[in-house]
Amino acid sequence: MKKLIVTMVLVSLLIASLFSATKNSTTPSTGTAQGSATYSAETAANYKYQTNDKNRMVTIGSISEKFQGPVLVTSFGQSTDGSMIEQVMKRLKTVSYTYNPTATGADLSGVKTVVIAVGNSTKGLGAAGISQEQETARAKEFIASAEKAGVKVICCHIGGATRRGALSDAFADMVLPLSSFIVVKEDGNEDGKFTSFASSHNIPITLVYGSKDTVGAFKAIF
Amino acid sequence: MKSYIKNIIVLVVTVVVAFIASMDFLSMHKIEKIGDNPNITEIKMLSEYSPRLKGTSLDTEVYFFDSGVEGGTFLILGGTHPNESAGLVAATALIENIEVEEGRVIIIPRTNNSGFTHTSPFDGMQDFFTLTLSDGSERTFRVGNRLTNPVHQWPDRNYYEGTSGRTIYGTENAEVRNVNRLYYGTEDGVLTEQVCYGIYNLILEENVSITMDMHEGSPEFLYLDCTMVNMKRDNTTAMSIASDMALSMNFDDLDMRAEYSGVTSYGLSHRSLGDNTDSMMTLMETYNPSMGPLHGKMDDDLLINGNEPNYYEAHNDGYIYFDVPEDGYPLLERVARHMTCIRYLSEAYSWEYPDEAITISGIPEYQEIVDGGFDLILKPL
Amino acid sequence: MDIELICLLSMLGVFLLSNLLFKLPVSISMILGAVAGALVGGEGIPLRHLAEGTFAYLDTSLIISTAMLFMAAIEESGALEALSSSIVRKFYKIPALMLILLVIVVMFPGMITGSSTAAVLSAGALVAPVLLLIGIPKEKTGAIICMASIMGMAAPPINIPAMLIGGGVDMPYIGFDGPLFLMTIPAAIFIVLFLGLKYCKNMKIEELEKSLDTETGKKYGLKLYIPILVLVALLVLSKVIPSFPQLGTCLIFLISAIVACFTGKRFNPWKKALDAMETTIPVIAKLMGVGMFIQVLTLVGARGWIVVSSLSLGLAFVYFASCTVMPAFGAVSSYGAASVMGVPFLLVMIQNGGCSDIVVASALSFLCCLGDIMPPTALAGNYAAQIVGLKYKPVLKNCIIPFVVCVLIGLMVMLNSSALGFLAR
Repeated sequence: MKKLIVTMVLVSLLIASLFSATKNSTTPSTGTAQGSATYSAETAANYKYQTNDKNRMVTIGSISEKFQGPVLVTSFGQSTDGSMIEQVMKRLKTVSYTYNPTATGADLSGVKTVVIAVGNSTKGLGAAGISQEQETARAKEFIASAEKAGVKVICCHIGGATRRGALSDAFADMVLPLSSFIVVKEDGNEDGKFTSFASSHNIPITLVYGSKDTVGAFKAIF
Repeated sequence: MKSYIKNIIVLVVTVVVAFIASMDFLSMHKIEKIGDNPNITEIKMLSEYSPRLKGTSLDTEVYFFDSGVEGGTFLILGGTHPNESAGLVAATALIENIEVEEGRVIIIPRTNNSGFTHTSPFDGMQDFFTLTLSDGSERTFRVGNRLTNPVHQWPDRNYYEGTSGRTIYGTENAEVRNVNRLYYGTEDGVLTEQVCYGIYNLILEENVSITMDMHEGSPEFLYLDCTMVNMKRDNTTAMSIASDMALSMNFDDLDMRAEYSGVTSYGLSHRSLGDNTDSMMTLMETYNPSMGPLHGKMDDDLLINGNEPNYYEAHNDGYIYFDVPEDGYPLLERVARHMTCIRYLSEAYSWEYPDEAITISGIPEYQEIVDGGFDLILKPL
Repeated sequence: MDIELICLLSMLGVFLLSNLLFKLPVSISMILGAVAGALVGGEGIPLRHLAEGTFAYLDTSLIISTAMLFMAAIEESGALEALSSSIVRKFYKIPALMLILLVIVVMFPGMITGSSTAAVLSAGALVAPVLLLIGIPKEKTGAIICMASIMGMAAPPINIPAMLIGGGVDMPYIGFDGPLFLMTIPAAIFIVLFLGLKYCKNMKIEELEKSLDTETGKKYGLKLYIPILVLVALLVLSKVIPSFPQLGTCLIFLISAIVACFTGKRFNPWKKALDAMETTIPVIAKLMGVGMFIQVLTLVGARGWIVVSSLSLGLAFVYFASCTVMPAFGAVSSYGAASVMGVPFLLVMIQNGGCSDIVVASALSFLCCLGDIMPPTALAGNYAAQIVGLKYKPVLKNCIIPFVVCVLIGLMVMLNSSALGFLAR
């Protein structure tokens, strides 16, 4: 009996040490709503906010030219942020726009500016009946066509910290290199991902405090 | 002989205790009045849409506001879960105050009427709360249970297959008394399901174009200050309407986001009524600390002022995702939020579908309600 | 000192005082504790709340009563003994395998219903006589039945605490089977071998044969087992076929009990029913007392206070509390532990990153299930003790080592959740 216990303890210790050695992080399956951010809490704690309740909008870099309509608003990741951007465009009242969350390269004809809301939502993909792979394929095709057509691209991340994570970031990484302007709700930039990309690539970026401030950010560029 | 005396004493004590306690339980069956509003065009009973409900404790009042002008129809559900007080109070306030200028509004203040007649064991809930208006008069509201009273529907079955494909069994089996699990319902299902059928049938017969189901959630819940939307109605338009509402609320400095109805949320109003009727389905949740397991002493401070230091502490320690306000989230603000959400939804809907416009007046601005207090939205009785 | 803490201390104080000092039954002590808490909390004697608390266990009480009637009936008809003797005669040559098979039989009803009580009262009651026959002492048999039923409660497909924890963070109950099997099956095997194996070595089949009742089995044949078959058939059919008449668990037990009156040895059903109820009523009374106690605990805010105070102590404490406070909370209710502590604990661990949430949730639910042996409620322990005819103290004493091993398994899985993440796919 004693032998049995000793063996079990030994085996379990061995297994435990093996597991600890291979320990790595995985994205929680609770998805978008829970803190699935890829950056650590420490990085976030070190981040210094530039916007606040009073000063709700901060632009870094200079905006040399105004963007032109017609505008196509689309979503990469099917989060509800796409439809929020649509409502922002509606409130501008001055720019002609269409909203198509599942737009492809074929929808680009006649379009001068593309606004892409990046943010992955498993619920949104489910509602639209699209798989993660299909969405990634569409995004790749769309971004390639946009580059070919020479339209201006605006990258929008207005979902905040909860809309960060490996899947959302993959979409952002597709859009950022082509962007002429970036709008980010600042709590989604706690690891400096968007600001550092903007400064190293010399792209103007506007940090907003809340979703509603996106209207102000867009008024300045259209 | 001695043991007989002992037994008789135990029996007598039991009967006395049961009698006194039963007074409390029976008092929960009284229904509070709702104030008059000359704009009410008709009050029907839900049994007109689900005949078997007639004469049962689940039959409930349906208030109609018909402008006489052509337009859409807005159905507003309060009291789906009777422990989520903001829904009942907001529905009551709407009934007492609104005037409809285009289209129609239909309001059911106590969707699960039976749930208002009991409270949930273990939760130590207060059975009612009282709001005092400035003229000294009092408005009393019942706090109930999210499920139908087992006195009206019992026992819970081991296995139940709802109309929408949700099977209720195992740990969920009490949910066979939950209105918001049995949609779209059937006429000859269990009593709770007959309520679901009544609402489903009402949506069909009255040609309802948009529905709001008013809820509250415990602080642990991840979808607070959030509106669930079924995407079915010409796909992106429903989400556009909800996002329009959310952005308008953001401009009032209110947190609000729209979220897609879960694909497998079978039996819930936003999913299953949306999938099976033409109505655009929405469901909104506000924060209610009395519903969470961390709540402290159950009293008016918790129910009316929404003040729960335990949750503020838990949020600061990083356990609660929701941004819990330090000085509470009062019932008044939650009610105002529900009313504001409905106002903006009707505006956004009318903007998107001008032919089916629904124009509601008599809902004050959010800040006006918060400044004016319950006096502004509840009538003295 | 917080008023909630004062309430809690007075509730516990009055409970312990009445139970230990005045030797009052647990149920009465619980009621007195509840009344004391309400008085200190400024609620007077809240009759409504006291009555309401008892109703939380109404369904459970009815099921336990009818299950006990059924158990009494098959015992009197001779079915139980006949079954035990036939199992022993078939498997005595490989004692380890026999023990493992028997423990899985005990787990089975728990796996299906998610309730340790169901496992103890049905399969546990069938297997206990077998274990006793083999020569395992009463207290060890009780401990095996008790722990095995808890493993059954935690094992998939139905694990209610896991559903409660998952439900609290909007996580669907999918992918739990792997991690739950990983913990429950090895633990169950360890438990039964640790507690029982050494007694099997001295097993002499010739001696066993003498004490085994072979005549009843021969006389009535398979007819004896009809009530058990009726029970299983009705339980399964009513869960699998939606159109099958919904008899409810209580009625199914009663029907099977009535069938048992006609399939074996004759007995006086009325007298045996009264006997069975006499042993059941103290258990029900205990549940009612616990119901009142929790209701008042919640009413005065002590429940929330306990959780918030434990949470404020940090991540290391959360791991520590998951292994200690959470199972201990099972004394009140293991389901309660899942929803009250499991949910916030899971959130803390997810928020600190580097873990697979499904695996962590599974481990937490496993630890919650262990709460079913916590005194004074000790649902599983109490029933197991009743089946072997002992008080629950000696049985629980034998559960200590298996319990500690289970806690360590749970802790290890929690700490290594990311490496075990593949199990959740």
